Amino acid sequence: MGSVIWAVGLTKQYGDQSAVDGISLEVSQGESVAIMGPSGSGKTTLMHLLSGILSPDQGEVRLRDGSEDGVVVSALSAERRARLRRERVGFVFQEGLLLRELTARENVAVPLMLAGSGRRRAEEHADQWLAALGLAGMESRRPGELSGGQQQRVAIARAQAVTPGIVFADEPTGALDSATSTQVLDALLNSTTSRGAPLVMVTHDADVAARCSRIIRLEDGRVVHDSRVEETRVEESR
Amino acid sequence: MIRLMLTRLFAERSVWLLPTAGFALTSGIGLMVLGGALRLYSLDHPEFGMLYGLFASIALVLLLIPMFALMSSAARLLARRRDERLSTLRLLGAGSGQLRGLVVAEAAVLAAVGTLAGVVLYLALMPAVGLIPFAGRRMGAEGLWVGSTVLAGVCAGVLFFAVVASFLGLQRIRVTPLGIRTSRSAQQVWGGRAVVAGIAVVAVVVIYYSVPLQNQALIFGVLLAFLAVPLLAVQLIGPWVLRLVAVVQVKRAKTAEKLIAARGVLESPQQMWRQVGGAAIAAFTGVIAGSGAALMQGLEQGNITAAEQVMIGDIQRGVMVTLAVTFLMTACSVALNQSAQIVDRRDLCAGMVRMGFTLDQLQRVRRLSVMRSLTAVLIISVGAACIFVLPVLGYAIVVSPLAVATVVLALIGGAGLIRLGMLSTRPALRSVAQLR
Repeated sequence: MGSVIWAVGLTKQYGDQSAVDGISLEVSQGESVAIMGPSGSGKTTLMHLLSGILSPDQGEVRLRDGSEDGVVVSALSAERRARLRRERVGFVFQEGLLLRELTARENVAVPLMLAGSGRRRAEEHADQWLAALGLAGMESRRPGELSGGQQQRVAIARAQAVTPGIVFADEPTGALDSATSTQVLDALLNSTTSRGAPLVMVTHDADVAARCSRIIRLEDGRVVHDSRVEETRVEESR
Repeated sequence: MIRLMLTRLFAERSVWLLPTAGFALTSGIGLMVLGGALRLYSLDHPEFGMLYGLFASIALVLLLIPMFALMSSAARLLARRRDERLSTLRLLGAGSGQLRGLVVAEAAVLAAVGTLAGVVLYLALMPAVGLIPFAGRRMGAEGLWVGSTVLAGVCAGVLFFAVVASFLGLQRIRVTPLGIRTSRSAQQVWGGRAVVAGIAVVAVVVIYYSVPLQNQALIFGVLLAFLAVPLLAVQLIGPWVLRLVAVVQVKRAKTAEKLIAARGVLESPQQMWRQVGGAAIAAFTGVIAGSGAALMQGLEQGNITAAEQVMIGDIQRGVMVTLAVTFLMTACSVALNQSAQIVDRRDLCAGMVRMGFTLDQLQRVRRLSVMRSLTAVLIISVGAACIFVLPVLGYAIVVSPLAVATVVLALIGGAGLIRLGMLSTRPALRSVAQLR
């Protein structure tokens, strides 16, 4: 499988503290990657570097864009990185971060409209995604009228609406109970990997990580463990 | 516990800066307006002394609503960023009485500091504002001094308002150890507002024409009521009109920015009205008073006394000053409310920037929500005023086009001032949207 994103020698410092220290990694099509580690280990900073939210002090991040070498995300201007995130990357946050004044349909349609779609077309597409995530009939509800799990599924629909090449999730089930968490995770994994896009997820939860195909552990800004879940299970059974 | 929390009140800038600035602007502008009005009341003018008093009263009535809106905005800012602290205290076992005591004490301290800053602002601006002439001579810094009794009364009034508003605000929420429960659904605007406003206006007109007015004080009182009730009616109808406009804008929105902006207004038409309502009232009265003054100037040219000429000039200047102060208060309301919204929704702003929204897009959403609402209320209020004084306005345009043009320019300048108030919040947006 081809790589969708690849990073070489990523380093990010805050003051004299290294948040990320020389990390290199590749993420392939259809992969689901869990980034784990204790608080302050650099998980979120790594995700922000990979997604172009932050620029590394050293190293580079490339995102596949049809060309052989991909686009060097870390070399783009802030404006172009913002556009890239808006149009080619999906995000799901722990708090959902939905606009409370918009309906579920409108929340999902907004990224499409920002990318240039007409409103009617964007809302039709949003309805399809909401239905695919089990929210048919709730399109006109506002976030305040939905449960936590439903809100998170709207956030997933919003992330998927622009058909992004990769989806990043930051503790997407952190604020949910275990049953809802399973449903949301199913929705996130299925909607992303089933269409061949990779999912990169920061999580503290070992059960959530176990649902991914690959687990990366960080400590003090460095990768201390990187394995496919099948390999880990085989190692554990020995 | 209350004493401990009060000692930490000024530790976090987002907690104290906006409410303090709000109360500083409210009391500073309020004192200046009052100083100007008292100056006009005390004018010992042989011919028009009483008229100056009447015009000062009219200006005060007109400024009452934007002043109240500004004060309400300041009071609402007291509630910002307090939720997390209150729920943490509840988690630690604080009782309702203690929380109530804390909220009221914090409101009193912040309002007191803000009012004190407002007094300093008032004193600092007195020499500049004192240059404005009325009745043939400059008002002078000393002429704007309200006196220590009025000063103390205004400060006490602002403090009382802050304490009562914060206490009432606390009644609308439920503090639990896990957070603050408030209604998240869109605010409803009661359609009956229009009916109530209509009945009030009709009642005042009926009283005005049917009750015999024997003495001068009664005539003045009824005249002011004749002016105040339609303004209160506008205040009642305003949010309802804004809601109707926003419903149409939501349906017609073709871009994401326009959709979010219109939905934002629909979420709370009252909140938007608190920001731009002052401009509607300024435009309404500006057109009426401005065309009246322009007509007087045009008709009387050539055969009026020097004193009358001064008086007409003063009326025009008074209209302009009232318009300027109203627009200034509206711009302050916009700046305060928008800053508060940015602080309140800082997580959402930061999240949207991570998702790829640019600062310009976020700013455009906020600008559209305020400026489109402002445009709507200006069109409606100017249109209503033009219909109300159509014959007078027609004559005024013919006989004194320059004076009418001055009023139009003042309205455009006022809208520009509000836009500046909006722009002044951009640094706050940039700071919360900064990627770290």
